[in-house]
Amino acid sequence: MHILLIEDDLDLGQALLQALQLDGFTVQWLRSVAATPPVPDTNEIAAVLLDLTLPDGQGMALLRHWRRAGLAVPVIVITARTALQDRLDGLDAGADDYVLKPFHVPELLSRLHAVLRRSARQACEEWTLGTLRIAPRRHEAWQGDALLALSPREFRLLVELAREPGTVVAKNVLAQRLEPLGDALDAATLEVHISNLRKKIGAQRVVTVRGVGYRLQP
Amino acid sequence: MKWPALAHGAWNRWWGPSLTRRTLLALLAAMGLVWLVLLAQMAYTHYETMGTNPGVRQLAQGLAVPLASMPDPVEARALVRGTAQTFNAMRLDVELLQGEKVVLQLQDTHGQLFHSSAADLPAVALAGPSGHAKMVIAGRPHWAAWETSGAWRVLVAEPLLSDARLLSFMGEDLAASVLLALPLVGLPLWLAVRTGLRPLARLGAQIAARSAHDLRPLQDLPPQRELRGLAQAFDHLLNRLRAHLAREKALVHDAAHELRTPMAVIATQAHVLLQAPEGPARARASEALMHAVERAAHLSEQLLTLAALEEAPPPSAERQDLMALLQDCLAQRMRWADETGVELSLEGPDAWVLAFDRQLLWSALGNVLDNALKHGCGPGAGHEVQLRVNQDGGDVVVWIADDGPGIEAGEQTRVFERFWRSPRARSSGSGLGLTIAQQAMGHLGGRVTVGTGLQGRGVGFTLRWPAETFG
Repeated sequence: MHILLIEDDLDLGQALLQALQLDGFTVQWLRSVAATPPVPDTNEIAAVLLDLTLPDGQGMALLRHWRRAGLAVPVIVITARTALQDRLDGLDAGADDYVLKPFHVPELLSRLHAVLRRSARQACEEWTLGTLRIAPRRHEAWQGDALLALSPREFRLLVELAREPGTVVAKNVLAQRLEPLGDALDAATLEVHISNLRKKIGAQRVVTVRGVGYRLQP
Repeated sequence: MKWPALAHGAWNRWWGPSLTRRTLLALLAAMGLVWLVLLAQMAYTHYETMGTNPGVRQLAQGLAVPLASMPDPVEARALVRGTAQTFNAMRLDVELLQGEKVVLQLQDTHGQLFHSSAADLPAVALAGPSGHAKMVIAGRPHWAAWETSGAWRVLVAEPLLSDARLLSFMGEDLAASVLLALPLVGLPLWLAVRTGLRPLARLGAQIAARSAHDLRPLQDLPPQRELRGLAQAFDHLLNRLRAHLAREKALVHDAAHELRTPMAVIATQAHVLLQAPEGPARARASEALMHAVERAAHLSEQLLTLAALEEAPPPSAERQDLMALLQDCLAQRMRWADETGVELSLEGPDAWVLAFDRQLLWSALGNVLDNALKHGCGPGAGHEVQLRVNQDGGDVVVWIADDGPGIEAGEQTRVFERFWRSPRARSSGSGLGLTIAQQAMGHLGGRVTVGTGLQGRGVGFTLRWPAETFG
């Protein structure tokens, strides 16, 4: 899954980038309000980690603007502002969670997975879709009790489809999400991965909506 | 309690400084002064009357009236004798006069004696038909006056009282009146002082009852104009204390806030180090962790320096070589400069001995120099830092300039703000270096300003302070 990290501090940004990558996320790191797109592309981003104090503006204003523009992606605020009012303001402005510096990285990662799970409308860390179970943090998936042998890219494809169960994910969106930092996957390669995934979890599970994209059938 | 202490307490109670006692002593002094002035006035009036219109003259003139119509010597003699007896009888009752008698003589216009109240006293020689004078009669000085009336010349003479006796009599007389007045004036005055001091006591109690954290201004100022000044001065002091505390609180708050990010960096890097696979990734992570720890340590050090500067230490100046200090400052950074390919240079006199506080100047120069090296130099930025030393009037001017990317015009006013960092900074500083430099220069009686650097590029900081501040 792809995370947008907005943090102005050079050292902290670098450290978080590595910590997130070690946990299997792909990360885009930005350092100022000016560098941030007016509204992040939801097709690419699964969640945002947002520092509130930025050199050229306030993260809070950015967050309010996004929410007004209809951005539904989960946002975790990371800040050194400890006052209760700041925390309340942050949550009221549309933050899904509020993490105080200095934080424990495992806690930050757990919170990140929690907001991702909630946005995928799952009740626990093991996402359940019919007989299919996915554990995104452990990079494991089961069909019934059988552990599925998925390649990293197949696993990410499954998670991206599972994040919005029942809805159709457009082909180009899926292609971009699988390759968030580079050029989108070409259509043929995507088709190959879809076909491989179908072989492992059952063809009827991934429904092709002609001309639009794919849908994961619970 | 040992008795010397007890005695000391009692001594202080009675003889220590006290406004009430001081007022009462002043009253006593005032009364003494009143007594002295009244005595002087009384004595003056007395001697003036004696000189111009003494009592003896009035008596002589009084006798002259009936004598004018008394050609009969028997009748005239009887009048003079009777008058002398009456007066001398009256004088017996007056303590001051101590029974000393007036002398009355009846002479004719030729000086022949017809009657003398003092037996055996020959006719006193008189100058002219009338007059008054001090003269010696029967071996004693007298005030004398004489008048001529018809065929008679009458002399009235009163023994002169000694000045000492006269003054002591008048003094005693006045002292009685003044002593009577003393309680009459003293009591209301004492009451006025007591009630006058009560608001002061209330003010004292109000201040004493405060908790150490209560720095609000006094609620009800005393109505007395004299106390108002004191209360206002106290409020003014509280105001300054409040401002000082607020500054300290802000610094502590900012410090706590600013330490959170380096701590988060350490925590995150430690996590990365634990999770990173063996190999170059782990080596990089441990290096990053070391850097994070160094950064936190540097920030705490800068915070301590700033806190020490906020305490406003008194500069201690010694005469020393400014150029040597600058060379030391550069030498410390030479290795780093060589490694990063930065050219450091110093222009100015060979030596310049003047008085300055080494610690403060070292702090200011070091931080500005570090700022130039950190933000002005490095890959993709400048590669030269120059120091130029000049004298401008009575000021020492040190210009520290780089040829780096510079500071945007809008940001030039912000660089000295506490914890401000450029959004384009390529390394994470404490955000305190230039604040420290500014504070240190302030303590030296100078200032630091920012402008353009070398070849119209980069940043140039000018440190300027009066050369002879410390003589």
